[in-house]
Amino acid sequence: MTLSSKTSKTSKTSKTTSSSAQNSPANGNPAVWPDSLKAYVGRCFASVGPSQRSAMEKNLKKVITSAIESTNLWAIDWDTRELPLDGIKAVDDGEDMLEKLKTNAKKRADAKSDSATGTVAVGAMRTSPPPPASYKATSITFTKSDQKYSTTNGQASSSISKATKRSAKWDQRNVEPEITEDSAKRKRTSIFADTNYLGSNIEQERKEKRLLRFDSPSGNESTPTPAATPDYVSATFVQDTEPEIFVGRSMKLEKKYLRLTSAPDPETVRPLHILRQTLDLLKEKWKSERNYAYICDQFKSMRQDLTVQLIQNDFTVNVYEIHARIALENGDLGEYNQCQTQLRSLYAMNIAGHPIEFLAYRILYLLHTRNRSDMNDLLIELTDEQKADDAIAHALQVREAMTDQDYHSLMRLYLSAPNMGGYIMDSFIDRERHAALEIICKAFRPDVPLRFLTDEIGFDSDKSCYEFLEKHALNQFIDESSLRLRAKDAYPTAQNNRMTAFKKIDIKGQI
Amino acid sequence: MADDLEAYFQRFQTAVAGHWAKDISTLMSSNGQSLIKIVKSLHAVRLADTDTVSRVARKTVADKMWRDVAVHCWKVAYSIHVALDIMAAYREQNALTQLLNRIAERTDKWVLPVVYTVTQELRIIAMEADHYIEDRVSRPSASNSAKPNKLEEAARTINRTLTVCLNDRNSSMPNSRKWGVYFIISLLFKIYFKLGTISLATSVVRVLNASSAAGDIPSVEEYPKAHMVTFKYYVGILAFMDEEYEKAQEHLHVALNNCHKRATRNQELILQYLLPAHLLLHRRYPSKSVWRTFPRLQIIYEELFNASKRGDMRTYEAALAAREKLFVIRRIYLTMLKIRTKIVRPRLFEQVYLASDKSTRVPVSAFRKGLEFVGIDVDDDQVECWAAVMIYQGQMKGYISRERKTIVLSNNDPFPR
Repeated sequence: MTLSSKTSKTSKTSKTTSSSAQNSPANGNPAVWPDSLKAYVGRCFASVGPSQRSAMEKNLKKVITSAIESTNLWAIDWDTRELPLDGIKAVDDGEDMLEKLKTNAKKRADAKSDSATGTVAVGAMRTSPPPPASYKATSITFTKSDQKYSTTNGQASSSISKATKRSAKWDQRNVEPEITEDSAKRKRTSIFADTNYLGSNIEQERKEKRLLRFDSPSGNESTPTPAATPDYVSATFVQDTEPEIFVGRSMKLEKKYLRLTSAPDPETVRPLHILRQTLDLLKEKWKSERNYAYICDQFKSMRQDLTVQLIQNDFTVNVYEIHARIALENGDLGEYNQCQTQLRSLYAMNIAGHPIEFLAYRILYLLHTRNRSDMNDLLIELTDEQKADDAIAHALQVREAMTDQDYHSLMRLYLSAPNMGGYIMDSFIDRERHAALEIICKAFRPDVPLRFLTDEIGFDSDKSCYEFLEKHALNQFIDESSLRLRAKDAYPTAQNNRMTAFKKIDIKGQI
Repeated sequence: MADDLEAYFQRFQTAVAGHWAKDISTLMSSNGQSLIKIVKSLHAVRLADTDTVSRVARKTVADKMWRDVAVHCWKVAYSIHVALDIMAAYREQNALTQLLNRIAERTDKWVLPVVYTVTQELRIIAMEADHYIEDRVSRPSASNSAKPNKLEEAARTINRTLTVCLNDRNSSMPNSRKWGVYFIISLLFKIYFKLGTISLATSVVRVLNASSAAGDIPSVEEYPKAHMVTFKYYVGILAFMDEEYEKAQEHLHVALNNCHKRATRNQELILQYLLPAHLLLHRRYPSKSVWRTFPRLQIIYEELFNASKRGDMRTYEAALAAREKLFVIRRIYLTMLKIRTKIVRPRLFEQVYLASDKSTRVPVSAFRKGLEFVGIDVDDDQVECWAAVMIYQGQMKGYISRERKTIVLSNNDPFPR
């Protein structure tokens, strides 16, 4: 940050735009833009005051996107082209303008799901910072004010609010000032509270830390971000409060997942349009090869690339949904849960996807983890409209059957679960089978036929039912000739099985 | 006019110097009449600017931090009563609370009443601020999508207050800030329940249990009853929601027994959870006098309870459906479902048993028809399953003969209560 802000102050013009020759025209990658375009962009920014930069960014984005789409990036004479000054006043007039910017920003947010290349190009030139980006800029500012805070107590709040205000001015969506202000406060609590065990924001802090990991380590100024590679970066793009947008340059479709331990390297991160191709490839591969270990790994690296580039759009949702479904199919609840968690916040941002389908999964998942308080919270927020949905109605019936220990209904619901609900139910159905067996052994006398058990504990054949009983040492109580289970004799074993099955479960359920 | 302000700050200074917490609270409260009057009259002569106020405060209030407190209070009152700016009021009140947290760290028990006033008002102002944000967002012209998160933020400030109270290592127990712990926790419970972040409430309880297990804080019985009742009420509900009805009943009993006898609203709230817990655990029904004293509870529960007594599944289901929203929001719904299976259904089966002249061998089909009669249309296997669960849980004594499609009931009290 510091490095870039210095450059921005010294050279407002396009001095640094000269770069090596480019080969492929009509590309969204600014690295291959014509020099004249870079100079043009530089002029654009030089012509406006600081409060109008984002408006200018917006206009520029439009111009360049349309140029890319019509593939005449190289045909346009950028040197003589008019500056896109629509909606931009020559002089910075403060508050009034800010309002205007907000409206603009909102419009942009609405029209956000642009074409792939458009978004990439724009991202690369830092014109459209997606929300969490402001996090980065402000978090650095706050570190500084925190330091001040520790020495002179009185001044801290004012410097923080100033910093917040400043960054808020640059924020494009109005949710962001809230987020940044918030994170500032939170951070402060974590630093000054001698114990933050009260847990109010542990989760939040953890996320924040995780985000901060993508920042440069403090003190180290030379971050390997695109800013450090001078070939296409015009210094005018970089403003002191503007967040860095990270865009990868890797063109390889596949990539092994590696947990990041330092700042990501743009050379190994795939930009959005490549990720789209990756997804298509993975879908193909999954269909033909069904290699879960490979697929899961690939999806994780895709998710990582999306995260480090702060891409949150319907493609992101698509990736998470597909990964969640594949994880479910393979009984990998840990991976599923990670996706589910992300999906919840993506849906909360009103990004298109399948929120109802996944809400139903979540109900079933909470039944699996027996998380009563989350379940209560979820039920309170459930709307009538949602309850009317088949999948959700099914999940709610499952819940009721489990509360009632109504194994008869539960097993019917298990066998008729919509979508991929059955896969989640797989994870707890054995537990419920043991509960059912205990009840049956306690209540029925003298014996029950195997056939009956098959139906009542939800197996599709007597054989698989018998195998289950055999696995849990209950087959010894089955009369081989009549194929009936001696209930009374089997009861102690059944009781034991149930107690073992209901011991605390591993919530992560990772495989 | 400025003289009034000076006199006001003078009184503030005297109260601070004398550690008269109650007086400070009265002077500070943004609803305090004297403060409102001064703010308004100063505004009338255009002397309500921060400079004037800070200048007067500098002249009168000796301690720097308390002086800031006084100025913040003034700003809160000004924002509420003159500027009509709830967001500014919230910012000031939050800053005020943070400031007071720091002051509290250097002092002991005497300051607690001031802390109570400030945190309580922070909660109220934060809720107002959230209402304001909600209103603004819901307006169609609003380009703003700000979240109403002020109460959440306030909770973090108050959480800090709790830490300050808990971590008093300097003062001896009689003078410890630890006497503020249960008040602050109760306030946090209120906020967390309002926000629906129950998990945060649970984690506060965990911290508290660790402290009291280590003997760091006095037992809750030694605290003022008002603190204890609120606290017990909330931990009671937490246990209730976790389906730990015995624990819930225990806490709620303590709350009820110590509740002020004229605080009927509080008693009503406690009973709202205690009554179903009691019914589920002991099959005990409240007396008529309870309904008379608490008409609201009567509306909620009487019909359901009477239906459960009779085994009248149809009425119970209808009454439950009519109250579903209410029960879900108050987190009682699950318990009412449990009452249905554990109490209403056995009574219904008992009716069939009585109707078949107390025969100990009742065909499954007879129960099925009984259920059909009250509008429950299920097959024999479902009836057997329900019967099996009842036998398993001890609400019915006997066994099921799958071969003969018959339920064989115990001679002796087949439906124990």
